[in-house]
Amino acid sequence: MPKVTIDGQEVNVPAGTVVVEAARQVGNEIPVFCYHPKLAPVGMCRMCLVEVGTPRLNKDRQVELDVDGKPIINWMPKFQTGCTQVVSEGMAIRTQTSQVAAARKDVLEFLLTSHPLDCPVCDKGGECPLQNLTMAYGPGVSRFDYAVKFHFQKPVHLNNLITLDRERCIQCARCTRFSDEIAGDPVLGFENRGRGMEIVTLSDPPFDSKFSGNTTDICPVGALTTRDFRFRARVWELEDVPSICNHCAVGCNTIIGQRVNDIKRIMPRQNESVNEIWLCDKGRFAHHFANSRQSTLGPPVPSGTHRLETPLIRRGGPQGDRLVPASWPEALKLVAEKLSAAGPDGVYGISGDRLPNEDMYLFQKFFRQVLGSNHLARWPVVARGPVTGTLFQEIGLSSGSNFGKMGKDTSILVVGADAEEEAPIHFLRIKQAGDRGAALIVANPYHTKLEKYGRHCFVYRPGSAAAFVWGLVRAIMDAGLEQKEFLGSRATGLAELQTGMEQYTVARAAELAGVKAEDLQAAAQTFAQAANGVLVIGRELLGSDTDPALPEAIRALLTVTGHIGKAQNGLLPLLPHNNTQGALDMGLDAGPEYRTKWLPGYQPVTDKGTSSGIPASSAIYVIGSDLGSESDLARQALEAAPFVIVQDLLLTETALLADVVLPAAAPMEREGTFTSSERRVQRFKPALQPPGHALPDWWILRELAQVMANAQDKTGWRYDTPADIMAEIAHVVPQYATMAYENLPVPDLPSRKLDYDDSLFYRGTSFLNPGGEGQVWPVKAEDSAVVLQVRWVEPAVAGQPAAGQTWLITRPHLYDAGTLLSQTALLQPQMVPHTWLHVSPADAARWGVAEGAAVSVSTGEDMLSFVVHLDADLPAGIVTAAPARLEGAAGQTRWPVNVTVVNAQRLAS
Amino acid sequence: MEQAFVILRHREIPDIQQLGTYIKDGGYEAWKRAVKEMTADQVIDVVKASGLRGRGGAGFPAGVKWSFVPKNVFPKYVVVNGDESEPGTFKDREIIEQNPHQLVEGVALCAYAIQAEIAYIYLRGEFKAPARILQAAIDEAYQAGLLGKNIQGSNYSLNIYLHLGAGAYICGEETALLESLEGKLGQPRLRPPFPANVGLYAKPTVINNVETLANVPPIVRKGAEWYRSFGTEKSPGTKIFCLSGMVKRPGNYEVPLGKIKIRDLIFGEEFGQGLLAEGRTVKGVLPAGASAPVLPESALDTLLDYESVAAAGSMLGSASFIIMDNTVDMVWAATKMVHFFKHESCGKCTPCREGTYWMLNLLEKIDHGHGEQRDVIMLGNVAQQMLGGKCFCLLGDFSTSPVISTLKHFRNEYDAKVQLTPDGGVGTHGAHG
Repeated sequence: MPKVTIDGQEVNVPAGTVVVEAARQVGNEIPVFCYHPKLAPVGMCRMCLVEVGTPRLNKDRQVELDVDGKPIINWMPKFQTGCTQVVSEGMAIRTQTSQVAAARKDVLEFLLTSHPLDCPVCDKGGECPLQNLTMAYGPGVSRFDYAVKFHFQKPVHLNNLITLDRERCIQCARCTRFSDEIAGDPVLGFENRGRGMEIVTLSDPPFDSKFSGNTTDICPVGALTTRDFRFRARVWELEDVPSICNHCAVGCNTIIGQRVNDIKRIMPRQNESVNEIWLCDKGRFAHHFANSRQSTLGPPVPSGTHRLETPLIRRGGPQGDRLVPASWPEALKLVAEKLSAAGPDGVYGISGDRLPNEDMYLFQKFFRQVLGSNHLARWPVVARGPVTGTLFQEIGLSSGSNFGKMGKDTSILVVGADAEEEAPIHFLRIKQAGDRGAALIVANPYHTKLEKYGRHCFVYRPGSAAAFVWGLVRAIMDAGLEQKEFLGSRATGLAELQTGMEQYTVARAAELAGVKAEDLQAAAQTFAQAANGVLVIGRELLGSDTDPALPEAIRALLTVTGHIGKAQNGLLPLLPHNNTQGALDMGLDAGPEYRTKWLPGYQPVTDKGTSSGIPASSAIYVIGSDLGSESDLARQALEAAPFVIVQDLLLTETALLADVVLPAAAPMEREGTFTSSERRVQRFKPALQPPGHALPDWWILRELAQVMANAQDKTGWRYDTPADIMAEIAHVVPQYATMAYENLPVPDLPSRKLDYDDSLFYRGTSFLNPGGEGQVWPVKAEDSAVVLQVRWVEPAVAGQPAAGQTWLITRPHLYDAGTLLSQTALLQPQMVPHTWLHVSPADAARWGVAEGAAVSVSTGEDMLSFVVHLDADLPAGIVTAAPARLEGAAGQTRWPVNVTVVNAQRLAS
Repeated sequence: MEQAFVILRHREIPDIQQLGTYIKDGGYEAWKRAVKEMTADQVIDVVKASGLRGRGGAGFPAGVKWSFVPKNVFPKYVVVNGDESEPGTFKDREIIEQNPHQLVEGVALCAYAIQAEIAYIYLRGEFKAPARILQAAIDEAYQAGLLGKNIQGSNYSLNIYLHLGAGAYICGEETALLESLEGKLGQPRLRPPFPANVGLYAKPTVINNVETLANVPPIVRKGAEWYRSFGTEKSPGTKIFCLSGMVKRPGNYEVPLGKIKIRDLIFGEEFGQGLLAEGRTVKGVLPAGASAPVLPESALDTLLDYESVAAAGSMLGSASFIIMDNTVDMVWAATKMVHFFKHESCGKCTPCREGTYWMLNLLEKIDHGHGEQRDVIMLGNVAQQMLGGKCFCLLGDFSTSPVISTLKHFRNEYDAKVQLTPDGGVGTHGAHG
């Protein structure tokens, strides 16, 4: 740790630290524009000039001392940039001299000669580093002749989300470096030179990145702004509300900028354990469902999907049945009557997995306590497969894990997951761990972007994930790399496993999975020999059609390698929605059967009724799920039910089938908690008022319970706020014992300082998260007394692809055209419609179809119609479609399935 | 004092651009001896002992530079800087066109010295014709077994590739050249790390100027002592001076360093033979194109070596002498030169990007007769404001040379221009004050 002296103040900093960072440690903020702590320094803007000196050495390489016994410093003749100057032992740095002050003033004066100074109409105004540093260090007046400002046509659109004002750009390269270094999308660059140098996009489609919005946060001027926020508000008028993204299961921390009950923008809130300072474009822009009537950008949203403002009741009339507005007491009374009449065996409850924990807890409690029924399920069926079970709470990623701290000693194995599509910020952080030296092993039935950073990459045969993982286990045992000491005290069934696997050689596994045995062995060695190992699985392995051998293979792999029970180790599932994990925790899981298996906290349900579909019920209560638009089967069940209650934000296709529609508040209109796929429980606060008479789900359930419990005991349903519900959850669910609101980090409203502020300078315009980083509940394996049972289960072998065959598999997309996402017109160009069938160019040629052709394929049982979309990254013989499309559309078909083309529309080429 | 043709051998030997002629004159002897008999370190030692200094401008000892390259990191690269973009410089072109094999042999010796197996010769984009000649020479060398795999039966292999730039002054800066060679935007890199450690494709790289490497074959063939018989103790060897401007006989002149004066170069019978127009006097001399401070007539007796020119307040640099006579308007000349730097500023760092633009604005205003005295003062301020480590690379610093040196030596011309304004140069400050 070199000791350096900064303006006379001594500080020890790690070797390799740059002067700017060393100075921050003693509270000395050296002004910067191009420097950013998350990016490699470039020394371009020259704002951070400091005076640097090193101790003078005598002939014997000893530091020479002056008469006062202090080292004599050789000051360098020129200024050095503090962002690139690496400290050395005894270095002296001056940041407060008149020379440095003059240099800062000079550089600012230069910067402002090109700048349009249009702060009054600039969206960055009020939180602009250029503005702030000019106030702090600038010359006050410019001596530059205003008449000769450099002009560009403005603005230009880098993509449909990001707008560039080249006149405001100060050429700091933060955006290009973010895209290159952090996002792994080298699609931005500089063109031309001198004052004509401008940011351009190099990709087609332009600025092709799922992280483009982050460039607007770290842009130190108003050059990059989002189309969403452009000219929508002045930043100092916004109320900034801490929130949690409600799209995927990463649980990114956000700030909602609210004004006049409208979301003006969503920005990342720093949480170094979750999203650091980043947010994907879906999280940033796809908030328009909350104000879906107010969208003015782009094409209009689909009709009929605006926010519900009052309860609706289906009534007969001259034009037949239709949904007409009703009052809350009227609607609740009707629902209460119908549910009572249906009785415990005649009701069926379906919950989406996007609701906050508190609401899902109350929903299941309502069914179990008020209705006396366990007839509950969670929709969608994805993440209801054999892997979901109790595996996550047994060997899940241990608490204290942080991708941001993973590096050389860690191996991350990603199987059946397209992380960039399923959980973009996880992708970003896995990639970054790889950049820091973590060994990435990537295995999928098709190519994914993460392969670019993988040390070992596999494309296995569709459906052979279990065979692949078992192959890794066998290779580890063959090489004698299992953690014998760990296994001795923490696992049973090892001998039986070895006996069972006797015939299952690495060669056999390689053959089944369609990969090379030596590659499998090399990857197994990498994973087993890493001090820490994380297994990331995705959507493909979470479906109900997944091989039942897979959970056993996963448990065996993590057990034999000892990659469980300690920080930076364990299994991370990329769950489909923001609170799938919470749904599991709240007792809303179901297996492939359409009945819940657990009470909250994974206590088994004793009446083990099963059914192979949504059971015929007198009354079905759907909360927060548009299953009717996703599944023909679900639709049929809803149409057949005598009474259907749908509680949702929008008049969805499912709601149109209902007899009573109850308007619910969106996540940003109430407070609550979500549990991420890392099992991190995080609070969020309300930013908006719900529209009309819409109410939070928990509120509706409470009212309903009170109506139904008319003559009964109401004491259990006196919840004034979600905090009261969480207090009860903390008693009921052992994993949540410490999660009462008083124990969870309080997402404080960040104070917005208009003057010099660390968070504004170093983290773009993102916000600090002073309240902490959320609580992660520990998995069983973290308890050293827990012994893990490993068991050999032969992998089921999907049919072997033969020449000329085509396998249809599910494949998730970030912009999946789901019900909520569709409300954001701005993201329409990014959408992957459910109707698309992704086809490799080879298969398209074989079928004689081109992009956009209509094609029908037969699975043998079902006939599915699609539109062909060519995908050069797909291996031949494999076609993919959206999970929502396949999970709902087909009957009992299991994926992957061999399909044949029944009818292909041949387009003239 | 006569010229001495160590590099411009074609001035003595016609057709030396042909391989046969070149070999007859002793060409490739050094190369063959090196790969067969010498160790890499021995080659470095000879070049070190010769005192050969880089001819690209900075004058850094070539052998010392080569010895910085780590021995155990592979691959390594030699990159030849043939960007020759300094205004008034045309020596590399003559070497490439007239004596290409001496360059090829020099490149090969350098590559052998650092044990690089790939060398790139980066030529400025406009050098299409020279590139054809050089490529023909390289092809000949391959055919003669002087390049390629297992050269002359040794274990050593070398491939030389030509690359044409796209016409940017900044790509003569060695790290910007590397960026350009890698296919990126030509902008200088942060140093450290230095190219000797982290250069082309992040591998150890030696970058030398065309003229520097053309010196190497005779040094290795005839020895360091022979080479040191030319020039001075600190500036050994010969140097090609590119003479242009208002002289009777512009051209390249190869002269031992420290033996003649600027005056000799301009007026000497075998050099410039005096000014173009009778009765005029020398007003200013640019010793290194637009980059170096202009020297006034009083400096004409400066000896032509690195130390003497530096002592006179300028620098020898690439030794491209542009001579201006007493009819030249120095404000106009400074405007031209700053225009060049403004046009060529890469835009990477703020002070150069904005400062060159600002200086040009002020100069044009003054030159066109719209300036005021305060504009002249501000011009000096802006130039000073760019110095002292503010700019990322030396291009920014160099761009101030025309301004600072003309203001120093020819301030009266600026004053005269602003006094032509209606208010006599006092300035009302009303227009933009």
